[in-house]
Order: sequence, then C-alpha cells, then structure tokens
Amino acid sequence: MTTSTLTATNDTSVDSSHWVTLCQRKDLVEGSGVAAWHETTEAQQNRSYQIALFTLPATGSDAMQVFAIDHHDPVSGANVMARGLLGDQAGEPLVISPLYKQRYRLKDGQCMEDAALRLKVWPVRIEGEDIQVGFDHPASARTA
Amino acid sequence: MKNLIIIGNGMVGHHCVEQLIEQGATAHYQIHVFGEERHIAYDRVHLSEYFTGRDAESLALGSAEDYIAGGITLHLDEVVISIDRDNGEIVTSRGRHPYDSLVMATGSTPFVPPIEGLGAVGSAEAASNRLVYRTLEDLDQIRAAAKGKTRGVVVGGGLLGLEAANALKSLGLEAHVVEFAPRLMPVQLDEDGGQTLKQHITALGVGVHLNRATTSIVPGDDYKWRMNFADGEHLETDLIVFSAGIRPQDALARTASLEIGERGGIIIDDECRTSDPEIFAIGECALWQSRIFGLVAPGYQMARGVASLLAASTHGESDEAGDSFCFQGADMSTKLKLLGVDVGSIGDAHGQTEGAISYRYCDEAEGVYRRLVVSKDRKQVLGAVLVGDNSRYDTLLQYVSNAIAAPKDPAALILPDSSGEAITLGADALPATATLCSCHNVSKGDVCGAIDAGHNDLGAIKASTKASTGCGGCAALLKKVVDAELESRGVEVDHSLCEHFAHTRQELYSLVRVESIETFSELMARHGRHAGALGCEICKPAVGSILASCWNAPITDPSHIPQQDTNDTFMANMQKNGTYSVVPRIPGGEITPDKLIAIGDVAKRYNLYTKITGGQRIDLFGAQLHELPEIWGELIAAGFETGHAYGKSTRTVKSCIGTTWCRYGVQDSMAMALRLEDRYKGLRSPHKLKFAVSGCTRECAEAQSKDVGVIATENGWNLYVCGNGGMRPRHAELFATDLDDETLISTIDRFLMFYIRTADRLQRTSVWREGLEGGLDYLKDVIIDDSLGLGDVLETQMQLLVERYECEWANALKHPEKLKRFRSYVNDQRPDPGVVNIVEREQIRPAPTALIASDAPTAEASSTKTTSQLVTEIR
Ligand SMILES: Cc1cc2nc3c(=O)[nH]c(=O)nc-3n(C[C@H](O)[C@H](O)[C@H](O)COP(=O)(O)OP(=O)(O)OC[C@H]3O[C@@H](n4cnc5c(N)ncnc54)[C@H](O)[C@@H]3O)c2cc1C
Ligand code: HEM
Ligand code: SF4
Repeated sequence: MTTSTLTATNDTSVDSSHWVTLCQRKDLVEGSGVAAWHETTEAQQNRSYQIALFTLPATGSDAMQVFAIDHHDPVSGANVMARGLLGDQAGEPLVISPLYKQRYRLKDGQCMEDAALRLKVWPVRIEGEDIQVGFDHPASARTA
Repeated sequence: MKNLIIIGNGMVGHHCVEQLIEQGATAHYQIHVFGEERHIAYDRVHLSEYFTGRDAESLALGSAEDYIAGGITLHLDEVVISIDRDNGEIVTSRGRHPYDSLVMATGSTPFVPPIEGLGAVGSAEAASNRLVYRTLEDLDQIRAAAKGKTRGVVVGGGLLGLEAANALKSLGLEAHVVEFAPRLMPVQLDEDGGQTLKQHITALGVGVHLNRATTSIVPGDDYKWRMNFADGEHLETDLIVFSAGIRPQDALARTASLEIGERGGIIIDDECRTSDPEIFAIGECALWQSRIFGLVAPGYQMARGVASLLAASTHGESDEAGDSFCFQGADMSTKLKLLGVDVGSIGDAHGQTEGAISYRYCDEAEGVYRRLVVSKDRKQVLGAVLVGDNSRYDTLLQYVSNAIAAPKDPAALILPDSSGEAITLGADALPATATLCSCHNVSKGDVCGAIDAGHNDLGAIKASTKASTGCGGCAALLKKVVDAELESRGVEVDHSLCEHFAHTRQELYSLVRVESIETFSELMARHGRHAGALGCEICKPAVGSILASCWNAPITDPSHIPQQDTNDTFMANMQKNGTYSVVPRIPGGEITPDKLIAIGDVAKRYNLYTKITGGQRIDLFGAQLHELPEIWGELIAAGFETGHAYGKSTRTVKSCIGTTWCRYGVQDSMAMALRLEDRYKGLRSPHKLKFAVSGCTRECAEAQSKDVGVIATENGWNLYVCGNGGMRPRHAELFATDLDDETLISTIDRFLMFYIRTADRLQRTSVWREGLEGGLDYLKDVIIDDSLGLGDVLETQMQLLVERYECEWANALKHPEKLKRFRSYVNDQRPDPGVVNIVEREQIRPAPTALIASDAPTAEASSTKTTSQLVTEIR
C-alpha cells in the first residue's frame, strides 16, 4: 500500500518540500476523476489552483496510477476536466473534455487535436493513504 | 444597432426571420417586419387544407411569441406604401420607419385577365365573379360566395387551378375547370400526361373544358353568371375563381425606381440584391436571370442566403469563402397530389433539349402515364412526367439532379416492375449539391473533394471540411456518405466502432447478449483489440448504452462509472459553463399544482433558471455539481423521478389532452401517454427516443414527428414510427391501424427492442429505418407478422427492462458512497468560483466569458453558501 506510484512526469525534479497532500486514497474514483483545490499563502500571492486527479486502476503487474492535470478546460473556459472521460489512444492514456470532446494526454497535458493547446500537469505520489502533488513552490502553502 | 426592415410576412419573409434568428443577426439588428395580411405567416402550400379542417392557427408557421422572443417587432395588417430611398425610410399606412437594410418579400398576386363584365375590385359583382385563391382571406370570400350555391368554375387548369377546383368540390359545389391551353397543367405536363390527368379528374366529377378563352361574363339564365367563350360555347355558374397565373408584387419597387423586369418582377443579382445594394428581394417577387420561382424551396434558399449575408456583415470580416452566398437558380421539379391524383414533373419534362429522346408508358386501365426524357446518346436522364403514380419520382429525380448515368435500357426506369428490375438508388445517390452539414454548410461535393484531396478517414474529412463539428446532427449521414464514397473508390471501409473494437455496435450488442457480459472491462478483455485498454469517448458510452439496454443495472454502480459520459455519470446535462440542468420527468406533460409549486420552490431556493421545453416539461438550469443531490432529494420527496434528459434514452411522451377535456377527442390520449411513458421511461437505446399521443386526427401532439407516434381513431390507435424533427425532419410512417391498447403496447415493445438490437451507435430510428433493407414492409414483416419468429423474445426482453426500472436518482440517493463524487472539490467545500452568472429577464444565465476574471477569484469569493454566485446586474 505504501509504494509510490509511477507517474508520467519525473518527480525527482520536485524538491521534497514542495509536496502537498491534496486528499486521501479513498477520495479517488477508479477509472475516473475528481477535482481538488489548492491555494497558496498571502506571502505567495494567494494563488489558487484547481487540479483534476485521475486514477487508472491497477492491472496485472501495473500498480494503480494517479495523474494530476489542470481542471480548467481551455476551450470552454469552464472548470470541468475532472469530469471528463478517461480513454486511450494507441495505448497512451487520455482525458476527453466533457464539453467539446478534445483529447488531452495525461502524461504531459498535450491536446491531440490542437498542438497549441496544452494543459498544465503536476507530479503525483502516494504516501500511505495520502495523495500528494508536487508544486513548484514550497509546500508551506495552506491547503484546506 | 442597425435597422433592418422586412416587407412581407409570407412564407419566404418568415423563413428569412427564422434564419436571421438562427444565425445570430438579431444581436446586431433592430428588426421590423411588416405584413399586409391580418395573419402571421402561414403555410400557403397547404392553404387548401383550410377547407378540410385546418384553421388559420394550425396553418401558422410561427407565433407572435417567437417574434417577441427573437426581439423582432412584427407589424401585421400594416401595408408598406412606399420606400423613401433618399432618406432611408419606409412609409406605411401608420407611419415612417428608418432602415439601414431592407428585404422585400412581397410575394405575388393572382393574375386576373381583363374580361368584359368582370366586377370592379371590391364591388358586389366581384364577390362572386372575380374570386382568387391565394390568401386565407380569399378562401373566406370563396366560402361566403359558395354558401347555398351549386356550381363553381375555376379559370386556369394549372397546379393552383386544380387545387382551387378541389376546394370548390370540398365546399359541396359542382366544380368546373376552364383552361385556355389544349391540356391541363400545360407547364408541367405533356399532352398524354394532361390527357391521363383529365381522365382521372373527370372521373371525380369535375368538368374539364379545354381550349376555352373567356371573352365576356354576363348575367346567366339558370345560374348567376354566364361565361361566353371565343368559340361560341358558354357555361353558366354561381361563382368564378381565377387562377390564371401569378404576377410578382413589384408595385412598391416600381415606385421606388428599383429595376424591374420587362414582364414584372424585381430584378436581383446572385446575392438577391436589387439595383439598390441595400435592398434585397426574395421569394416570388424576385426576378433572377429573367425567371420567377413560384415554389417555396427556391424562396427559402434566397431567404437563407440573405440572412447569412446580413449576419456576416455584422460579424465584421467574413473571410471564409464558404460563408459567401450565391443563388444559382433552383430545380423546379414538382411532386403533387391533386384531387388525390399523383402528378410529377422533373427537369426537362417536355424534351426541349436538343436531340432528346422520349420513352412513354401508358396504362389506360389504371390511369397511369410515365414519360422519360433522355439525351441523344441515351446516357443521361433529362426529365420525366408522371401521372397517376409517383412511386418512381424520387429515383428519377436522383438520376436527373445527380447526372447519374442512365441504365443500359433506360425504359426499365418507367416500365412496370414485372418487365424489368425496379431500379432504386441508395444513400450514395445524393446529389453533390445536397447539404450534409447545415451548421457549416458542407455539401456532399465538398466531402467528395476532401476525399479526392487524399483525406480517407472520417476524422480527417471532418477536420478538413468541418462537417459534423457543429451540432453533430449530421454525423450519421456524413458517415454513410463517406463510407459509400470510399467504397466506390475501392478503399476498404473499416466498420470498426473505434480503435478499441473491431466490431460494429450491432455485433457488440449480440456479443453482450449471447455471452451475458455485464461490464465494459469484461467486454474489452474478451473482445477488445487490446485487452486492458481504457477505451474512448466513442466506445465507452456506446457500450454503456448496450449494457443498459440489455441488463438495465443502475448506471452509477462502480463497475459502470468509468464508461459513462459525464452527463450519465452525474445524471444531469452539463451546460457550457460546467453547471448542470435538472430535468424531472413530467409524464405526458401532466402536472398538479402542488408539483408545479414544488419545482418553483426548488428553483427559487437554488437560484436556477427555469424554462418550459418542447418536450412538455420544465428544465432547471445552472445547478452546481454539489447541489445536485440536495436538489434531487427535494424533487424526489415531492414525488418526481429523473427525466433521463441526460441519456440516450426515452425522453418524453408528448400528449394532447384527449377525451378528458377536448370536445374532439375520440380516445383517452392522456391515459395512453402516461401508460407509455411509465412503461418506457429509462429505456436506454442507441439514440434518444421521443413519443407522442394525440387524441384524434387533429394531431395536436404532433405524433407524426416522433420516433413512436400514436394517434387515436374511432376504433383504437394508429401507430406511426420512425419520425423525427431536428435538422433533417422526417415524417413518421403509418405502421399499423386501429390497434387495441394491448396490441399497441406489444407492437411498440417489439419495435423498440428490434431497433435497439439492430441500430448503429447514435442512429435515430429515422436513419435506421432509411438504411433498413426492405424498408417499411420488412419492418412490418418482422414486427407484425413475426417473420423472424422474434416477437416473443423481443417482448420478454422489454418486460425485463421494464421490471428492472428504478429511478437512477432515487437509487443514487440511497447509496451515500455514490454521492461522494458530487462535490466540486474533494478537499474543499466551496463551489466553483469560476461559475459566474448574470441576471437577464429576471433569471440567471452564465456571464459572457469576457466578464469572468481570467484568474480564478480567491478567498473573498469562496463563501460556501449555495446561492453565492457572483451576480452582476446588467441592463
Ligand atoms: C394554393 C397554393 C398552393 C401552393 N402549393 C405549392 C406547393 O405545393 N409547392 C410549392 O413549392 N409552392 C406552392 N405554392 C406556392 C408558394 O406558396 C409560394 O411560392 C410561396 O408562398 C411564396 O412565398 P413569398 O413569401 O414569396 O410570398 P407570399 O407567401 O405570397 O408572401 C408575401 C406576403 O407579403 C405581403 N405583402 C405584399 N406587399 C406588401 C406590402 N407592400 N406591405 C406589407 N406586406 C406586403 C403579402 O400580403 C403576403 O402576405 C402554392 C401556392 C398556393 C396559393
Ligand atoms: C448538445 C446539444 C443538445 C442538448 C444538450 C439538448 C437538450 C435538450 C433537452 C434537455 C430537451 C428537453 C427535452 C425534455 O424535456 O426532455 C431538448 C428538447 C428538444 N431538442 Fe434538444 N438538445 C440538444 C441539441 C438539439 C438539436 C441539435 C436539435 C435539433 C436540431 C434539438 C431539438 C430538440 C427538440 C425539437 C426538442 C423538443 C422535443 C420534443 O418536443 O419532443 N436539440 N433538447
Ligand atoms: S388531437 Fe387531442 S387535443 Fe387535438 S383535437 Fe384531437 S383530441 Fe383534441
């Protein structure tokens, strides 16, 4: 249960102080997504983030995988990506926007139909029951 | 805002208004419409039905509410007297109005030849000897003149004249037709065709007098009037209706010094602009390349084009070549039923093309006549005349408008079936000019062009032509055309559902059923291309629908969650700003005051936008994810169930009030609608299903536009199937008559299950039916005569689904773990601060994106109260 999972982005680049626990394993939905909220302190300019967390169930030898990707859909302007359908194209896992059905690669957020569209992605690790996401600012940020 | 004025609220003027609304021009124009008639635009094509039961209201093409909703001011009974081009104003009987652009849709007036003895317009004589047949008012006058009389004459044996004769007949008069030419319908028919038609018509008791020029009208001996003809003969009658052709209504244009054709008509260019570029003319008043088009379809084409020009001119630049409009004339082929007799005229019906050869088939016993006109080399079909039987019309029209090579023996096209193969054409025979995607105006020719340019799969063709990327309504048609085109080019067509399954939907359905597969992952493991694949937005919802159609397990069960599209997952329709609509079921549109109040209470409490839909129920818009369970909790407590508006499933059973209140009703349509809705609610199918039940033939519930339509008869119910509205409307077809309640239900059971079994993904019953080999007769064989021995199985399967029905929201509310997803954020209580509403007409609507700050608002906007959306008033 404590193995950290593989994610598509390289988490070694993330300073260990930048990991933030966003939710618990039980909050995730297998084969689908949920959204999480994260905001920084005043000192860090009160920035807020909406993050979609997708869970691919464990299959055979592969452990469960969790991906963190921007919840904001750039095409509709609505915060809905976590409610998109999971899929794959040539074996590459994707999320499909629930409104206008663009496909985005989970590993790097690249849109498959439009080279100019790319969603932000974050590294994810699982520490015990905690689902942690690595930000590029220190984790002193307040999380609800 | 600019001012746009439309003169004339007839069929074409009305269509122009509809198109302006649709294309968004109402945001940039203040639109005023002036109509001389008292009535809002009505269906002139079906004018004659005014005498057979329809009233002005049911012939109306739109309603005053539509105009108000579109922000358009409609001035009825207000004639435009002149156009002051110098000041950019029009002058009406009541005042002046400025315009920036002007559209003339003044139509035409009946031509009354100058005959000695005609009553002066408006005189007492004119009320019986100078009647015409064009407007509802005209028909009122004819009706008044016919009261207590016995004989009526129509001058003019053309299409409209024969309709008028039929009208006189339906008023109980002995009807006569007087025609100047040597045959009936001289424009459309040749001599033999005219002769055959005359036979039919005289057999119906209508007198036909050919080669007769009326020279004078004098008081008669036995009847009120006596018509004297040039050849010395005469005919007496009580009333005379003129239908001797139409004249474009161009008087207004003349006085405004616009260019007018030699024989009348406002001259227009390919963009329908008159000699004043800010003034357009469309419909029957317009003269294009010296031609007047006396049919609605060309007028509609003009209306659509002008609307798009006006809409585009307000969007600033219109750089896409596809947006420009160019009227290119129109096909004048006609297919009619006159006095119950089929008449068809296609292309060069008279064989006027140089060297044209004709084939003729004439069956005097049955009164059937067919003429086929082909080119000198017999390779092209140029035209045709049909009398007494129009069953070949569609196929022949395809040959002509499509320039399809004629069969080796062209005569086979008109000979009876026994002497040759009856030749029919499939979907691949659509003309290149046929519009496939009306959102982006993509024709079949454009699609073929894309294929020729090397795009040989659906995705690439969609990307390059934009076809099917608007509302998506044309997806099935597009796929059909693309498949047919690729196949004809020798490209092997892949019928796989998507990259994950090498099967069609029908094959997957059988696999699911035969192997009792109950989950998506099981199906993927056994039959997917890659056992562990995740699927995609094509196969997941399709399989979800198949599983539901077969087993009807709650869609929110954990094993079903991953395959549901977001609307099914959250049991609500996602709207453009990420909020949801809530649609409780209101069976048959029947609702108690208490329930209405309950809906109102909920909408008020959660600050939802409410609208009554075309499906006879009430939609509540703007609910946020976390509010859905609470809202549904309250609705269910008030006695509602989910309306499945989010699913490809039974939507509504529309109904009229029937015998319970209506003085015309012959069956209890309300009770039947409730029974049907209760039986089929929640039924998941390849596409949405719409039903309707009418209590008598007046058909107030519009059942003939539904997948399943039921119309009451004296003896039971008539069943219609496979109709739909939407972008390609299709009338439902009569499937069975005078059924009793139980037979009606079992027939519908079988029909629906057979559709679910055999239809393609996202295929409406109409498209499914059109692709069905053997057509309606085959369907009747299978469903009614049980030719495949499937009847019992189909009924049993339906019964299982009916028994397993459970309101999905009630089920979800009973299982707290299913509700945990209904939170905007797993780690925070706040609603989505990105949802910003404004108030318009006293209700919320999503703010235009420009009003929403690009950075999501932070702490100050994070209050967690449900109605804390930022609301800005706009005026
Ligand atoms: C009985 C009948 C059957 C028909 N059957 C068919 C058929 O089967 N198929 C087919 O394709 N076509 C048919 N037609 C023809 C079809 O109805 C016309 O092509 C169509 O109505 C033309 O539309 P329009 O808008 O150009 O003219 P109209 O519908 O005539 O509308 C013009 C309107 O402008 C108003 N108007 C005129 N001048 C002014 C003014 N100065 N100020 C204000 N208002 C003004 C008029 O009062 C009128 O209401 C039929 C016509 C009739 C009469
Ligand atoms: C994403 C697109 C669409 C959504 C979300 C949508 C949603 C709906 C909803 C919720 C209703 C109310 C039905 C009810 O009360 O159950 C409805 C009705 C209707 N929709 Fe749509 N619709 C869409 C596209 C279309 C399109 C493209 C057309 C036609 C071209 C269309 C035609 C209709 C009609 C005619 C009705 C009235 C149904 C009736 O009278 O039976 N819809 N739609
Ligand atoms: S269809 Fe229904 S409402 Fe309309 S007249 Fe017949 S019974 Fe009355």
